[in-house]
Amino acid sequence: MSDETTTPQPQSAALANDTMINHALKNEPSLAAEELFTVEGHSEETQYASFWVGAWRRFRRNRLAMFGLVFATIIILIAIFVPMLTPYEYDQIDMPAALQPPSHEHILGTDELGRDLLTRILYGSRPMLMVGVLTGLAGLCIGVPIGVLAGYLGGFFDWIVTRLIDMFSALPWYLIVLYLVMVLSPSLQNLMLAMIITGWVGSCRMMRGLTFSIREQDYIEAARALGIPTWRIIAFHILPQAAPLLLWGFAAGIPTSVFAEAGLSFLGMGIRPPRPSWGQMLADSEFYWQFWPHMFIFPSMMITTSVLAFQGIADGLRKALDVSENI
Amino acid sequence: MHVTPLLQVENLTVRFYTKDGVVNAVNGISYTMQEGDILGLVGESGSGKSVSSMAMLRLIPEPPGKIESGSVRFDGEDLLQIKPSQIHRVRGRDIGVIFQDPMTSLNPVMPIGKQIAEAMQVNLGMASAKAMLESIDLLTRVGIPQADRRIRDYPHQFSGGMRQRVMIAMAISCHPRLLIADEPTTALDVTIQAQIIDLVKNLQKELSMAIIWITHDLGVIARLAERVNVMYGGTLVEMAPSKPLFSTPAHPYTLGLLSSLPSLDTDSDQDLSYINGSPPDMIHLPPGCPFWPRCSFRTKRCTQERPELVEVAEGHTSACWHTDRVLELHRSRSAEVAQ
Repeated sequence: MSDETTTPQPQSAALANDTMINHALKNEPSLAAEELFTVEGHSEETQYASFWVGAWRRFRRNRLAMFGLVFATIIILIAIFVPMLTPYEYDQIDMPAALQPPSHEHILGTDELGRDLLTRILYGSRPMLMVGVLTGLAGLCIGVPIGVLAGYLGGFFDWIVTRLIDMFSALPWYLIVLYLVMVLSPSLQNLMLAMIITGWVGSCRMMRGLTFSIREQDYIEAARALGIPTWRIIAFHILPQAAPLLLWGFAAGIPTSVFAEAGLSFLGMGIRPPRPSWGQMLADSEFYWQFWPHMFIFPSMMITTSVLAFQGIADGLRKALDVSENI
Repeated sequence: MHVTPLLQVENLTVRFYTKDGVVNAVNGISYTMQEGDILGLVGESGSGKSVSSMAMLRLIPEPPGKIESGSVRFDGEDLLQIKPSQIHRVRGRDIGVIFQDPMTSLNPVMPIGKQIAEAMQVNLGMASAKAMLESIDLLTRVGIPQADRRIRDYPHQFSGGMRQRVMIAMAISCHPRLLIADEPTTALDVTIQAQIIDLVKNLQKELSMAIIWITHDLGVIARLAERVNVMYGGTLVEMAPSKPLFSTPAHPYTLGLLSSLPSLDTDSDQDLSYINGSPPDMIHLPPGCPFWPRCSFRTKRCTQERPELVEVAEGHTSACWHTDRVLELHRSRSAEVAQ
């Protein structure tokens, strides 16, 4: 990753080339040669990099974004393979070993019931990802079709959708989620359900606005004049155009959801014990943290780092995908 | 023997209901076209030339737009009566459109080969591989070199003129019988304009399609069109074969347009002549003839009664109460120039 440039800069193909040459001048011969080679090879193949290739190149230069991506990948792998990674169970109570500071046996120590803190933290990545990623995806699946139809068709349907969006935006979503979870009884499923119910609004509003502006473009009229039916215009002309922003919107929603999951679990509104969640572990440390600070330091570090990581990804995506910034 | 004309527009009226009032964009125009005709539709901005053509394909936004009355018979079928869900079978397949601005009329995130192929896949039910081969063929025909490699390129990798060629390839991809060219050369350099006009002319001969060429450039019309319709204030004010239109204009507006064209003989110190006043406010059209506030031939009658198109020579009609005086003035002027 040493080829990153620390200062943000406009990255047209020409300037990117300049950067390579600068690198070459800065005593990094092997790396610069490699980069120059790939650039040349590329120009012979297709002449121009596609939008996504360019976006990836820009993304790669962003340190925070790359950190986020690496962290997220590791967390996802952990969430999948956690039973193989640790000899303990997340609900394995061992009272004699309660409240131990980090040691050789328990790398991050144990909690008040003698459960291995590292194991619980690793398992805690599961609800974090479920809420962060799955609710975002489900929100997209609901919000995007409704938004695109409202934006493209307009009229009465759009009026209804706009009122709904206004209504949801006017109410504080955190309170709605809290209320819904309370009514439905606290559990991970219900927390996710509540967050999907309130979360689709964001992507719907974004998609509706995007469709409105894309729909007025000349090439949409040209496509209609060519006899392309509406569903094809939406699927092949509007959605690909909106894809970068949707991707960004999805990524930008993850930190909020992660935070919300931690917060609600902290309040006892999320995942039920004994299954662990970082927020809940933080709440559990309430009576112990002054003397056994490891109980709150490690979960809160995980919350902070993952929020930061996903925020970094979102930020990197925004910069990499924003064409106007990169011309 | 009676032959069904390819296109028969009758009494087409289009209005836009805006917050400021009702815009009378097209006010009852009628004309016919035969198979293979090249028709020039001339008029200044806002005269209704584009709206009247887009209304045929029902491409005007509704609301605020509304086709109030009239019929557009294409090969005998009234396009304005087709169900909205069926209109796309006419678009592209029977009638193709080339738009004004090639810089914005191509989807920037789709390779051009795919864009051309899409129309053929949809309209002709072609398999995608065959449609791709066909697009290479089309691109070669419209004069894009190395078409087999360039189909993978995106619009931003083409120049304006090249993009307009791509647009033409798209418009003719499904062999339409009528091509509507909505000011396709306005956004281009003059040299490129000439190339595009020649290209369309050649394609017209090859494919024997009819063309409606919308423009405000009389030079383009002279080069291309067989017949010319002049529009003003949402109405047709003069219809003529292109030669008589240029030699003996019978409407004051046409006369004004022609005399404001600079020519190489014009002394550069001499001011160009122009038409007084500004285009009519389409919300508050003047009663009577729409042109009277700017017309030097006007009489009281012009301000009260709307003139109908009357024949001044064979196939040459003009909507003016004073065609004889217009013709007379033009004749005397031409005589002066000849001396």
